[in-house]
Amino acid sequence: MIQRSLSHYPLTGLSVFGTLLFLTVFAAALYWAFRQQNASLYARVEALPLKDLEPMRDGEHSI
Amino acid sequence: MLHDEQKMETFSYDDAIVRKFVLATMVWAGVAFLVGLIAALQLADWRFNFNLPWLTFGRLRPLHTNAAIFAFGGNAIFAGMYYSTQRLLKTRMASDAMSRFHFWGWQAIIVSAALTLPFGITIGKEYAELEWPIALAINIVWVVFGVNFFKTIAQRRERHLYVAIWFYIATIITVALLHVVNTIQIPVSLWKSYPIYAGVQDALVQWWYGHNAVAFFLTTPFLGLMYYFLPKAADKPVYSYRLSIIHFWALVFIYIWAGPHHLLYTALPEWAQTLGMIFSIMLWAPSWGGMVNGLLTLRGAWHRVGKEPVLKFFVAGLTFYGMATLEGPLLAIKSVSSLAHYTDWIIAHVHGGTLGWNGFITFGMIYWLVPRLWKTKLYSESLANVHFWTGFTGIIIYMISMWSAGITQGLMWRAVDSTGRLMYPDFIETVLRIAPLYWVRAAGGALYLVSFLIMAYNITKTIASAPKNVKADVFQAPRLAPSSNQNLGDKPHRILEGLPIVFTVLTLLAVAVGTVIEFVPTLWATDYVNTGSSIKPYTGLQLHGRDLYVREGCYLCHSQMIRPILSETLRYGDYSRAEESMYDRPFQWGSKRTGPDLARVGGKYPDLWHFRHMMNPRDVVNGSLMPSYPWIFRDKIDFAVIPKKIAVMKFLGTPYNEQELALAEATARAEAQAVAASLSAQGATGKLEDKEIVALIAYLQRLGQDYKKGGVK
Repeated sequence: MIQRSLSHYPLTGLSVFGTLLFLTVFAAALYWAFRQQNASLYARVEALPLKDLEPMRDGEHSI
Repeated sequence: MLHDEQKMETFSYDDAIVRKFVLATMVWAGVAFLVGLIAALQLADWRFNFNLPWLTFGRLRPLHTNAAIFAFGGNAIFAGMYYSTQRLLKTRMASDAMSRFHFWGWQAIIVSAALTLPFGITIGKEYAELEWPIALAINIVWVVFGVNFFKTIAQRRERHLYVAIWFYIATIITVALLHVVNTIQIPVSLWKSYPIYAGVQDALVQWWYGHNAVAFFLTTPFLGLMYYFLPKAADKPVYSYRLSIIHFWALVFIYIWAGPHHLLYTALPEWAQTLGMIFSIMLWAPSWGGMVNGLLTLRGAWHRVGKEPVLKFFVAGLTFYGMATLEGPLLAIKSVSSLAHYTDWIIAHVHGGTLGWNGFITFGMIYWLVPRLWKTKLYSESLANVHFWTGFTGIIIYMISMWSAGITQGLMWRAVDSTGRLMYPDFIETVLRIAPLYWVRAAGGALYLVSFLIMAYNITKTIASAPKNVKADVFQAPRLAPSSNQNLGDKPHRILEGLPIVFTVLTLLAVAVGTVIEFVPTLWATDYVNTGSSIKPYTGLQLHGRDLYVREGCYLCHSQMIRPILSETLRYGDYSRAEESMYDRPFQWGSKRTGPDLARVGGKYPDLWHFRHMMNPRDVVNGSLMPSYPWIFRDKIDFAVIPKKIAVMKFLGTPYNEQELALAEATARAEAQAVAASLSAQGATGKLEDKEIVALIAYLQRLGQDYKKGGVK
């Protein structure tokens, strides 16, 4: 099936480019995600949903 | 300078818009589920349409899917996005006016859909049925929403864009791309248009859109909501931020390629089918990565799942996501698709995703949001638990019944005896075998609706108990210093700080690669479509009849695509070629066979058979579940619009000559008289030559005729 598909495929280069691009982006994302230097950043940003601002009390604001 | 940038600013969040979207979600959920239940009952017993045209399955089904996806799902994601975006970026939405325009514009679009679809005003492409003025309005409202969102990002007070925001960015830009490309139409009138694509091109563009509407309207935004609301509800950070990065990029890159798995074994070029299948299988990895990341976020909090309804809904929702994303790639494997496609197995699959994943994530989010938005307590946790178990049971009943029906029917369609002949040559045999399961499905749907009504009561009582005139909370935070690296650690992080633009461009690139490659058949259509064949364009009357076929939603139950599979060619005739539908705008290959394929139905029965069949299908097919269509025997053909239709088709490239255009109305009238005379000769009575039934019969009798005359090689 794959042989038949490829024999009728006019733009092999395009899919090779697409696959390589995907692998490149994927490898870059993998490298970026698992860099040890990013550990401190992740420790901070993964907690973003949990760090809501404290609302001001009455009398502290004027909007 | 630094001192100025660090100056504290006072602001509040726009929660009024979130409350509006939450209430709209509740209202439209009720509509979507109720309409779905009515449609399910109609499939069990056609008389549930009460012989009303606007309540008939073919018109109601698009209303159900639009209400479920764009009204219920849409309002839910907007509610969650507006709430979480403001808090994650520590800023109010950029423009209250644009937020309100988005809300009211979206509701107006939904109401327009509810007022047009039941009256047969439809483009006839699944999940993109809304006619051109409404489609245009969607584009405008979406752009306003996008501008407001990106302006909000630009004025944020938090440097880093949390992963939920990435999923929102992917949603906004990709949905815009999908919708604009798929709904390019040439109007015939205010409520009628034809797509610029035809046949195989239209099929490819449509399922590129249709599949990715699931990906980027029902998956990526809900994943964004999951990444925000699940940690909030569990009070724990996401299990692995690293995994979420991999999850995001892999998902947006791969998803866009998978559309052709809706067209396996069709006339689509085989290489495109193979690409769609391979990328669908690849989707297993990021989908399950996301699910695992969500479930493991509950590490150390599992003991709370049994007690807290919000967590219960989230866990079940994620589990349904896992099931749906396991099943989806499985169904995209060609050999599995050959059994499952066109059957109720697909219906089980999509409802597991929509009711289980989208529904339960939404319900969990609403149970979490409403007490906070209205500054009160949930009226009853017990009722929320009852809602969960009732709804869960409803989904399970629904899915099991449709799995059983789908696999049963698929196996019956392909069964051959020892002499190589079909064991069930009459299609109706396979319908009657699964018909009892349609009642079971309706019972599952009813349970889900009941569970939602319990929720509606609970939420109404919660809101009623809220204090009146609650002031909005006010916050203080420093303005974001431009290109600062404070609080961020080492240098490479600053690359990440340019995220709004970098992310948008990279995401667009990720989806564009798959799009371009999938669109190759559109650009090189002549390589696949034998334009030299003697396939002729439809006559004016046939074209008008085809529009009636689209108006009544016949394509929702009948395919026009015979796959190159032995059991199909035995049942329907030789397999369909791409050129057979090269003048079809929109294509009518279909995605479900509640009734048989119609690609070669032309000439199979006499005109009178179709006449009686449309009047009362049970007169000619014993036990048929198809509704009757008495109104097309009353309603008259609008002959005056036929020249306009021919003119638009000619403009789009259909080879009509000037004489055919000039004589279109007269030719159509003469053709109608001929069909009416044929019917009268066979025993039909009444003045038929100006009735819609005549046009519909003209169209049905044309199907497959060019092939039979040897016009297709």
